[in-house]
Amino acid sequence: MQRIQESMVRVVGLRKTFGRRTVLHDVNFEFSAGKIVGLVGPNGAGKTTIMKALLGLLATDAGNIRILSQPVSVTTHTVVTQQVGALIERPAIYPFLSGWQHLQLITNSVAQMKWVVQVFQMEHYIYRPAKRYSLGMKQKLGIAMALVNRPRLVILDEPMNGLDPQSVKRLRHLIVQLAREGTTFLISSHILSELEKIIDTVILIDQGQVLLQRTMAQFQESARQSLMIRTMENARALRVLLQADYPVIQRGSDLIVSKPVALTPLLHILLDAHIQILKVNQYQEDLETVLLRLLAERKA
Amino acid sequence: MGQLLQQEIFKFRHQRLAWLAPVILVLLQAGLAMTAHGVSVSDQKFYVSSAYGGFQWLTILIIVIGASCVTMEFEYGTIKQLAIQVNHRWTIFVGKYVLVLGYSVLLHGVVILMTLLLKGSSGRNCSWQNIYLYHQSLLTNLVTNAALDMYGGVMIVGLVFLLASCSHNSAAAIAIGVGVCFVGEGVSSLLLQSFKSLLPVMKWNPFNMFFLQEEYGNPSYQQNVTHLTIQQLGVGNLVWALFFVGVGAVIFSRRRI
Repeated sequence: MQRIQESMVRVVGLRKTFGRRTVLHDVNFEFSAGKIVGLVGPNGAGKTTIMKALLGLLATDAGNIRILSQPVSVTTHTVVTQQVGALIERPAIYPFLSGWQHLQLITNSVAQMKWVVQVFQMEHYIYRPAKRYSLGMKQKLGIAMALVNRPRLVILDEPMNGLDPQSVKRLRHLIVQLAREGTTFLISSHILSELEKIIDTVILIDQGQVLLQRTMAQFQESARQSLMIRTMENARALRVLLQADYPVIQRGSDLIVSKPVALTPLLHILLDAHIQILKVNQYQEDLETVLLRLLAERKA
Repeated sequence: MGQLLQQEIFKFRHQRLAWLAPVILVLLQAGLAMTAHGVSVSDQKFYVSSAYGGFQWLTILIIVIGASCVTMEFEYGTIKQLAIQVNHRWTIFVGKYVLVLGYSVLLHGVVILMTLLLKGSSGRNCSWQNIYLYHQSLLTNLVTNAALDMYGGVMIVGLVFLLASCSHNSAAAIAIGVGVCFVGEGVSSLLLQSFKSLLPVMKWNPFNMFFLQEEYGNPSYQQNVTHLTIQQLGVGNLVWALFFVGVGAVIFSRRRI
């Protein structure tokens, strides 16, 4: 029996202007429950504006937002108050309260508070006033506040900001684990290499428009592959491969085959020509390269 | 609203100023009581009925607390977290307003209690039963003054909240709040004296309402300064308070976050 996936977020025709400047143009996207969705794009693309609109923090000029099929606007966002946790821009922290007191503001469940403190390893400073926290400590507290109620949808704006590598790894594991348990994540981050490791779907935004929404599987299919070969006689190897109609160029001391090709026949050609092969590497574009290429292609 | 108010109380009681304000008040009252030692019985009655200046200091403290209570949410970026939790942002504003008014009532209690203690130690030559203004006892005068000051605070806090909603940092909001509330009285009387033809309208200006408690202590103010009765000042205070809170709530709700 096919499992029907519940729609978590549905955004249709979203438009927002600040004065004369249009920051969101007809934004449309949708994703289902249990997914980890990456919202990526250059600075000023409109990522935070979209997140604020999803949380009912921002009045929009046109369009429709639904979370779990319930409408979201500045004056109607009951679903957000009950089912959504968020960290937007910077952690919402009162310097005079301790980390524990911040969690107390959000939940009455001591068990949930202990869980989140333990998960982020905040035990040794959670009772200290937040004014004595470092940037990373504040960031962890901000994320903990978004998660402590175990909401169904978690919206995280640049969650890796200020975190040390160990904390980033721990956060990554936690997000994946919670997603497996049914929590949906919408995450924006500039650290695409980190985001790439966890997201199921990517939404690319530029100049207030959704350029594409793809699953990571679709993304990997469209990512360009290339082959790097280093031989003892690169000039002769280049000639031989060109004669055999391979799309090859020389870059420094390497030969680059710019399309995915079968490796065995190519190696046979070189070996038959008695060319000694020193190194062979296969490359696939990562998320960052693909996105930068797409953005550059759009501008061109 | 109940949960929001609980949150506000939780945050407020963890702020240093919440515990420091009563201590500051008590010290200032004690300081004035010491200078009032040995003055005439008539002056002593005045000092006691005005709670050794406690009501004036209390107003300043409430302005400081009220202004920072609103602006801190924007300064710390915590307004986003709060706004997510409620459907209508104005409820945050009203919750804070109720909290500050409640705290004002508490501080008035502290001021009265301290006045009772100070009068016991430094003002023994005038009795609580002595008749003072309006043929009422000194104690009645003190309690009435406190009640009028609390009532006047409803408008002052409303005005401070309105100013704080437009402001980007608490220092500016506090400075403007204190300035408006204390210079406002002077501006009002100056206007009323300068534009006599506009008196029927001008006497209802909000700054004139600040004189509510002072007019009770100085009945001649009705003729010379405010041109309004105590009852009229009372109604004016309430109407302006509603206006300030209403406009403040709208500005607070529409502010970009």
